Amino acid sequence: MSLLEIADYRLAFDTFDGTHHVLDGIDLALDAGETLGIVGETGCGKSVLAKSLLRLNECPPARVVSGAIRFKDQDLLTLDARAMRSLRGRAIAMVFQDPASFLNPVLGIGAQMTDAICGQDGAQPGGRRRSRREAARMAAELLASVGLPEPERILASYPHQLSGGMRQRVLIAMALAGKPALLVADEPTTALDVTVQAQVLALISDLVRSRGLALILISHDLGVISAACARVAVMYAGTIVEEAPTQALLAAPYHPYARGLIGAVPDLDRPGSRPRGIPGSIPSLLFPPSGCRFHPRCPRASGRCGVEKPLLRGIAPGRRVACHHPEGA
Amino acid sequence: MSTPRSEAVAAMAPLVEMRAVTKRFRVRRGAFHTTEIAAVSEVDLGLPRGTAVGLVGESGCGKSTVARLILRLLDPTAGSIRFDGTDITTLAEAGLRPLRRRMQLIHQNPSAALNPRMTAFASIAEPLVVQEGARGGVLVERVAALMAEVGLPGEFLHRYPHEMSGGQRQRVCIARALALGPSLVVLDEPTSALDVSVQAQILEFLQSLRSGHGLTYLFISHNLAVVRQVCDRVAVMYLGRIVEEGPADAVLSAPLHPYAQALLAAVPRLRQGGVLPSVAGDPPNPASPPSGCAFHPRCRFAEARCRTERPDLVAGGDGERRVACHAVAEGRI
Amino acid sequence: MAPPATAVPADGLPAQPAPRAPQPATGSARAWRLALWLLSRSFSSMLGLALVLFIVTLALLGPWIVPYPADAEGAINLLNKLEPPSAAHWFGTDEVGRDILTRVILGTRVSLLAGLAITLAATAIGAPLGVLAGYSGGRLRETIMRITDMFLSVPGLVLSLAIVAALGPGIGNAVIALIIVWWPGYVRLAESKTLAIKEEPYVEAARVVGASRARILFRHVLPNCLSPLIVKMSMDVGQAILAVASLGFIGLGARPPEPEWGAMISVARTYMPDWWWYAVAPGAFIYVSVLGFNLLGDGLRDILDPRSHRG
Repeated sequence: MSLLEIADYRLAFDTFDGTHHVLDGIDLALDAGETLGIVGETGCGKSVLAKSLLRLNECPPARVVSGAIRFKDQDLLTLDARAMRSLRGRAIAMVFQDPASFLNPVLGIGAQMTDAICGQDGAQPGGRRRSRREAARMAAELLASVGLPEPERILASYPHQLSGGMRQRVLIAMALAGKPALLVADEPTTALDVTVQAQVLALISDLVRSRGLALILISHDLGVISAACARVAVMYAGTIVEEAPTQALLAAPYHPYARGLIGAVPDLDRPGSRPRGIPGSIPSLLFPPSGCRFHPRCPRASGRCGVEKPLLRGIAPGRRVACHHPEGA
Repeated sequence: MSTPRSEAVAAMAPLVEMRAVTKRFRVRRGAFHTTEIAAVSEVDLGLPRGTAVGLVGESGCGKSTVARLILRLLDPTAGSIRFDGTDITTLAEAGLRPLRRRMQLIHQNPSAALNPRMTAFASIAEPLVVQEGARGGVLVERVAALMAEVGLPGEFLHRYPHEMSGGQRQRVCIARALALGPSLVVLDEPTSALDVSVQAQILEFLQSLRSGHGLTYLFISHNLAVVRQVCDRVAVMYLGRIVEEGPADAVLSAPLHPYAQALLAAVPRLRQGGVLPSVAGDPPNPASPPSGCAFHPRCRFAEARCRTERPDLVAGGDGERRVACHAVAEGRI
Repeated sequence: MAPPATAVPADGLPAQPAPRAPQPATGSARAWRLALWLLSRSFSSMLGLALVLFIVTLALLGPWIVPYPADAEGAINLLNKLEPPSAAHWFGTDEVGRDILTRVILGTRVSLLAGLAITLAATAIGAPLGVLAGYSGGRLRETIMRITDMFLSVPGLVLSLAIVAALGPGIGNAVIALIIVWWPGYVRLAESKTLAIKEEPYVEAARVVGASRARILFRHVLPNCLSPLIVKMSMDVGQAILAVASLGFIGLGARPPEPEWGAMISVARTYMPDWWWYAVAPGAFIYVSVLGFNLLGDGLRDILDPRSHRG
């Protein structure tokens, strides 16, 4: 029994220009304690997918076309708003890209954290509200658990007095307040410097291990995914094109897009290896290409690819690919 | 007219030379109190002709300020800047205008670097109109030629920025920068707003441009892998100072300065899982810089001397590079 | 792994050139349709647009559609004075027997022209000053902004009263007085917008190629300030109409028998409450035009906000 199961999930955005088919038949499963990276370029739908797990996409313009997202046997798409609220933070918590914009600049860290903690209690059916003092003690414990020294001093400060890395740690601590089973992190280190990024990634890995959290980490950076995730799903234009253990995918990708993506990353340790771009550009999701959405840019495309959408199928133990002509097969 | 000999000397001198350049900003603290923050301190940097020099470091280290000082978009507080033999440190805007055509800037975010109410044609034509008063058919021809050079089809001529992709916008920016035939192009994180598959295309294109036009690049980036691919030399900055400078291959494969080492180690590698934080703590606040070596609070090699005495940027290692570190000078690293 | 048998072309064939994918329309035609679409999504914006179109139509066609053209100025028909609303006189008649509907419709043109003139002139004075102040900074900015502050620190209507009193009453002088009190608002708005825009990389890019200050101001800064200015202008037309009517009401603007709404209410006041319909008609027209321009301004704000352009 998986912790999270996404089955044939389709999401569209209705806009002035027409319907954008943003997610097109996503199939994905995640066990408790598993770490999954979702990688892809701008507009591939990875953030929309992450937000879907908490139903954070505004409807309209978003519209669920079909499919199900089951979390511990509950279908998140049919839950009522109240049940969904109690799930947010307590079952599934989320960390976002820009830590500065998720903290209220005029409220102290302490107030925001105790609010978050007490809010969790309120959302719990029949739950007992903790006292402010209890909540403050818990906030200090949480801050210590994310490696922030002097939690009391942090609680007494305002967001602008903290560095970007500290703010992201505060947000991670707040995400942990409801003891979630799944942490969804959407580009959590993109706004951070590389030395701080390494610290935050190490922290996330530690928390995942020590608390038995499941992790979904969204990133455009294969290096970040490689650092923190055992498994990776590659998205292109609203579809998952390949899913595999991270190191196996990096060593030998099956999907031509995954191969192109890996080949485009410059390698610091091998300056001689020229990264190569992928010709063409990202397709419009308003009129997505027929068949395989990658076929207009694909070096291996055949006539079949323009007509028949390839399904995500098992190709080797633990590996799935959506391609009619996978590499090396 | 210059003699062949002086030409040879001029060709050997760096295109740009910064000597002990310092830039301080006034910052308001409260209603009546202002303090000064040093964004760039005593930077010595030369850009040899035809080379690409990388400038790396974390946010707030002063790398973008260095770029804007070289372009004289900011006025230095102290020190001197020479561009092709001319001292531009205190040159007024009127005196700068003829030099402006020889130095160009490419921004990090091509979406913000293009006026949203101007078409690709208007943006690329602007330097030609401003500097040469070009107009009419000549202008159209020259813009079309520039668009062809950066690989944009003619149908883009009358598109607005929001009708183009990120890579296409960056190509428009490059065409605008090339319009006046510059010698120096400052690239401020030119690919960090782009997807990796587009980044590879743009980087390749930038490299062919440099060899084709004999351009000199100052390439600012936080992505060390990109810098290693593009640059001949690299300077690592920390809190407004250069801490290590030398050939890109040497510095980025075997850095000497502890900060450069930490920076390199923190880059997540594709083919090895896991990441170890290479250094604890955050970059310090420029408003209250640490005493002595600015890196000492985070440095595992720090000793008493590092806390009190600031290390100078001196030749170190193989002699090809300069390092500002007591531990390196004393042979501890 | 054998591919499943399908009816589609066999594997290994070279890819057929894909038919050219339909592309979303671009360019100005799309922009206009998008604007209309955004406007049509909001009832209040559509209402605003309808009211403004109604007022503009009356102003344009006024003299040709009014039932009693002779009542515009001089006609006197004492037999019919102060009649209540009826089929012949929808809004009744006034103290000398003129049709109120006719006079109110004819007043539309006066009010609309005055409102537009005040707004356009205030923008033409204020916006360039604001852009200049915001971009140049330093002493020039201080001078412009402190003068602006001086004007803004006196209540607008009081200041305009003083100016009209000095110039002498009349609709033309009322408009001049209102322009003098109206422009500082545009300086403030243009200045704050300019302060944000001058940090934009495209302004820096223009400096790098050596563009002059005038070129940067008029080519890069001003066009990108326009959106909030247009929104403010739309809202201000309504406010200016109200201000003109206010001056007319206290006898400093248009003077009877000129068919101006404020002046009409001023006369009607003396006939309240027994002949109430006399004041209702011009009051309703003031209300409708102010409401219309305000709602339209709100709608324009939504259209011009780049965030609503997503998709």
